[in-house]
Amino acid sequence: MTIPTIAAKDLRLFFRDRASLFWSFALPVLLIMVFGLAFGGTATREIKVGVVQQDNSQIADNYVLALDNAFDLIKIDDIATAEAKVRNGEITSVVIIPPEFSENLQTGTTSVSLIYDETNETTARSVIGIVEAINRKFAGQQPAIALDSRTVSGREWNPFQQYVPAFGTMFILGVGGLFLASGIIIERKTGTLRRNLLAPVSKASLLGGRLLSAFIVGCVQLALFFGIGVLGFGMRIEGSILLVALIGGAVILFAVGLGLLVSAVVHSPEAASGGIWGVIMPLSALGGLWWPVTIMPQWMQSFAQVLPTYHAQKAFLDVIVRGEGLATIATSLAVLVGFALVFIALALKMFKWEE
Amino acid sequence: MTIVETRGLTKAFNGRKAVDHLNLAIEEGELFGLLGPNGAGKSTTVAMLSTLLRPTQGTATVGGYDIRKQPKEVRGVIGVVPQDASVYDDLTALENLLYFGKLYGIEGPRLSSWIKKLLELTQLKDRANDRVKTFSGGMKQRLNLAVGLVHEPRLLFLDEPTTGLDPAARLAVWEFIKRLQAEGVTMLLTTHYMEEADYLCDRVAIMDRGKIISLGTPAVLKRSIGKLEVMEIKVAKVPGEYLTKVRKLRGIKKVTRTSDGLRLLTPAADAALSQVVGLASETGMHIDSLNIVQPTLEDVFIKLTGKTLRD
Repeated sequence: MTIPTIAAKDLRLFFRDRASLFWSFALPVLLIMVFGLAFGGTATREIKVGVVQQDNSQIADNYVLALDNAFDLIKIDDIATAEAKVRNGEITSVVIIPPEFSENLQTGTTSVSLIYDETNETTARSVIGIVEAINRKFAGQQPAIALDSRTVSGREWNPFQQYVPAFGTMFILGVGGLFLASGIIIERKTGTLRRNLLAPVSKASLLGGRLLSAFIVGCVQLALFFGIGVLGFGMRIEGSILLVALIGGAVILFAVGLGLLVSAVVHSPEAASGGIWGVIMPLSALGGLWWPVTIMPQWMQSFAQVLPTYHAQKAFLDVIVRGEGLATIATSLAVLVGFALVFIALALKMFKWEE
Repeated sequence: MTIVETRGLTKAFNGRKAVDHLNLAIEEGELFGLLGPNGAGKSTTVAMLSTLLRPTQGTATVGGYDIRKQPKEVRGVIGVVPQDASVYDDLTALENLLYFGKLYGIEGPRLSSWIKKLLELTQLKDRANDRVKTFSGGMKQRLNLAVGLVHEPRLLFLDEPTTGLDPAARLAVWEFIKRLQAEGVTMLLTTHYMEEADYLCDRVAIMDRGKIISLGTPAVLKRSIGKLEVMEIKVAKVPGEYLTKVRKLRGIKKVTRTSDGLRLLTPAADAALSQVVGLASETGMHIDSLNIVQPTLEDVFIKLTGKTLRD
């Protein structure tokens, strides 16, 4: 059997190349961690909000206490300093309690003002919503309808459930594709491919060995990314782990198809790198690896549904977050494998053994 | 016993014949040279014999197998040393040899003892566990040779084995080839260095434009141009007037421009010498040096084609 011999040689070459190790393992793990932790959601208790209290009555003190329960509240003496702090990002917004606050409250309506940093709009909106709720409660109004909210899975959302499969898919495609494509191109250039052809070995074995090594690299990536998510960051997989592996396998197969196709049409490793990332970046963005597709306009969402990356992420989320079974992800799997097979067929048709 | 036999072997690229009805036979145990300028069809011939290129016409047998019908068997018989050192830079010398050995289906103690011997022969034993990217050009080329031999082929193809090497490295490669020759390895060597063909080969076929224009032992080939001597003139600039006049001199058979001057073929150098030198001062040509030498294979080529090997 020559296929394992060839694959072992390719893997040895791969693991000796520090740059490819960085791109395959270190960078994606770093991104998964940064995004997973950054979007871990800040509890509102941690949002920094300033307060300028110009009314020193007992009522105003109680109001400040209510704010303090909701936010990480910072007391500031004057409006100018507070505004400066908002501007330089030290605090997200500031609530100003005017001197006539309690007096007006007793006679009828009173007001507070809020200055917020428009560059941090999402947070500002949460603050406004919470301050309004505090105002209503403080004025003695109880909402007629109470809201009891919970997540659909019944558990807290863990951002790693989004970012492990998303960056995993992106970097498996990138590196699986790049390792395979540039490996073949370099062998073609240095003449080692020709030398392999001179041995009494079939072309099928030569390609088979190459594809096997790329598949193995993809599996190592997949195991590493999910291992870090699950063991390091408590990411839950609601559905079957076998299904996750199955989707991963389909993604890797697609990566291998992409790499083989690029190696067939491109002549330098640099062009292969450009070509692969030129395909993967838009595929990742549009396919919902960087953000949920639902935030995009309707026509873009319709377009996304033909992309393999969309189906990879959808299938992963179906299993990881929603705990769905094979029936739900069958279509997505079929799309991924279909793309992979079409790419491989095209690549074999166009493949050149010599420059 | 004949190990390579070609019959009307032809390869055309877009209608242009790179190899044109080649007929030749190589005997077991000999070191056979294909000498000719770049583009003469030497590498194309080797590529066809090693089954990488399909002939347009004709065929050949290698080790008794037909290159068209039994390519896999042919590949098992031959070892090929490509012109550019085709080895893995990120593997060590030993790993390269082990990999290619396994690719040929050889494993275990037989492979390791042979590899040990190859590393000794190529003087790479001390560097066996170093990555190839740290090697000099000459070391890389010696490993390239060793890889070509890793499966103990009956026939070794050497495609321009010393092109691009410095003189010391070239000498080391020559020495190695000589040693293989002594061990009885049959070799087909292509080169455009006439000294290389002259020094190494038992028989030489001179190729030009896809055809063999002369074939024999180096000694026979050199005698074939008659009893001629060569005047090697080193000169920075050759005036046009000198060139036309020297061509008309009696006793000068052939005049060729070389990279650093002129090469004159003459039946009697001492008789022509005074005229050649006199003409130089007459036309204002400043001769840097003048040597009278015995003809080389280069002169055979010049006599036959009117060109130098570097043209």
